[in-house]
Amino acid sequence: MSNAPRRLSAVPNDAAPDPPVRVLRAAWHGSEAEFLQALQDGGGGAWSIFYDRFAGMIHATVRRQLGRDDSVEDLVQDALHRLVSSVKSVRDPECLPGWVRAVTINTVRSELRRRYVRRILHFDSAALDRAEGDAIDHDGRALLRSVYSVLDQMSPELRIVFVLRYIDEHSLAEVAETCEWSLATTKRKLSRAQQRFAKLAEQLPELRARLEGGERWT
Amino acid sequence: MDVNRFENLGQDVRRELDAHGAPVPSDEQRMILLEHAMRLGERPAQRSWLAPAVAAFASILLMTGIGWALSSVWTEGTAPINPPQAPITTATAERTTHWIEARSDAPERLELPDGTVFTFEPTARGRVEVEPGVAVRTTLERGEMSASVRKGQPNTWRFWAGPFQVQVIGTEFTIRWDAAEGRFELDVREGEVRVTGGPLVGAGMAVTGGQQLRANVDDGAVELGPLPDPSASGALQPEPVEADAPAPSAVVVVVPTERPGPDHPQSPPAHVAAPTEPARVVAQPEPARPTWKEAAEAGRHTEALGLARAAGIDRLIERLPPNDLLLLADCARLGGDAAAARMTLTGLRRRFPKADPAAAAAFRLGRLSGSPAEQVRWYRTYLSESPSGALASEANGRLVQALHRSGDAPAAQREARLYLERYPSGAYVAFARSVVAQDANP
Repeated sequence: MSNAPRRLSAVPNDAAPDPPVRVLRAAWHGSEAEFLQALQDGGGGAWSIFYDRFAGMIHATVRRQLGRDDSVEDLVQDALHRLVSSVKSVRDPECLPGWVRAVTINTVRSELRRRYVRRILHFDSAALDRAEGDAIDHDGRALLRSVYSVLDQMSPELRIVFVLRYIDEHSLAEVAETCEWSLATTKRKLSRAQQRFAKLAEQLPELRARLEGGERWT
Repeated sequence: MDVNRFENLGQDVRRELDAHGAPVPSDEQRMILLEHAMRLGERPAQRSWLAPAVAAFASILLMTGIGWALSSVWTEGTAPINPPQAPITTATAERTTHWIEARSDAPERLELPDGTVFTFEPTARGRVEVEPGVAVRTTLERGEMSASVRKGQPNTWRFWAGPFQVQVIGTEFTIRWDAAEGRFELDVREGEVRVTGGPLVGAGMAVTGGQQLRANVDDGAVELGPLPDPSASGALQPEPVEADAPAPSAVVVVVPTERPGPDHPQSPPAHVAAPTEPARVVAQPEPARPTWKEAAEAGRHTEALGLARAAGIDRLIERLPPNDLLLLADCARLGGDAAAARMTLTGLRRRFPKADPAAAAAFRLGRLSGSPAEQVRWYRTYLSESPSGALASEANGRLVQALHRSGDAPAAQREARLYLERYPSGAYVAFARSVVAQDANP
């Protein structure tokens, strides 16, 4: 063995010479309670694994709430900050996924409320000119533009419950847990959200036809 | 209206969103998260009423001169000796916290009753919390320290240096920590230790006798190899001491504490006494921290931005260290003030052009830029200053996007091909392929 230090790759590498390269982004080998404790102690390793576990879910939750929007990345980062700052409030490691979703939704709610107030005060337009994102493929753009232009006009609470139920495809119980509402309240708000969405969709012929006819978007 | 129609509509929306923007891990987000988590771990724990009371009592002792007498019991030989010898501090049987700041011309030595010896090399600073028979928690804040840990003791041994943790059974080793560069080095001469933290995630890495571990927080590099020749260069060296610089005396602060738990609290730094004074027992109040930073670290970006504005962002830009400037810029960006974020990042690059955070600032400036041409400039700046940095793949991918948006198709395709070669499983592979495909099918 030479005296030169051996550089370790951060990813698996099948072609690595002997001795084997270590996988640095490893899974957590302890219990979930130990994992939660490590998060609460501020352990960088545990938080890196936390990112691997939950970043996709956080990103998807924010993206489905906002659609193609320039703020998605910033809100994901904001949610991550909030999660780090509030992790000491978590007592049950089994509650981690639900807690992550609830904090993410709270982050989105804050942003939607800010936008809603600005729109009411006429600081913002009705957000019909939505950012189109970076995708080159334009398929489905019209659908997204129509749906999110309607959602932009809904109150934050109704928008969130609608998206969680129909776009995120969560069960009513999960929506209730995420929004910290009772099941009855969740059902009531979802019903109001459906009515509001349908009413606003009447202004957009393609979307209205879609909802009335029940056809899939083409 | 039929609920199924909403469900069908939602499924189509979900499919469209996921098809064109499936969530991908971002190295930038991961790094920012880890930075924030590290700050959380370093945040001072709630102190009991007893510690300030004891500290106040120690102050009274100091004022009446009794402190000086006590210090002569706890520390010996702090006057300059030629050649320098390590003064010895013997820990008592009570739970104690020893604050150690080695003078510039001599090491500082702490000997525990079980025979374990810690040596803080010149200019090194740290603290050793001893809970006899239970745990010994040592934090190296800067510089180099060695430990010779005796086997067979019931203690749990934990060492911290920045984000790294070293778990010890019985061994002899040396830790070096350069916070400014994010560099960590560990030489294990005997026994075995396990290192976690920083880029060493999960169960971490075992380092055995005769091995050296080097890790860098900034670029995630980890190197494990045999111990180098002691005369070889390249290892972290203690800060150079100017010949005519005043040599501060070593100061050991002994503060009994009843705070339990395995955490490693951030506590007030040791006070450096005047050059010719002997070591003393010194009580320090909790240092005041910038309130904007507290809010920022708690994730309250808007509040942090407001507090920073009240303190004067211009003034902060000229005063804060580079990592705090990055934090301030993030607050401004997340607080909705892109102009303040740009100003902060530009100030960081002006004041610390050679520091690692300068490259990170270039990356963030790219994200904040409105025009593709500006984005291209900043991402190229980042890649030139930190070609193998933690955000290199992200910057490369964003560079391809920016070039594509700017209409410079040949450059976009060139960078896209390079991206696919360098990061075949990267987050921007689909986009890069689509750019390359446009070249193939104009």
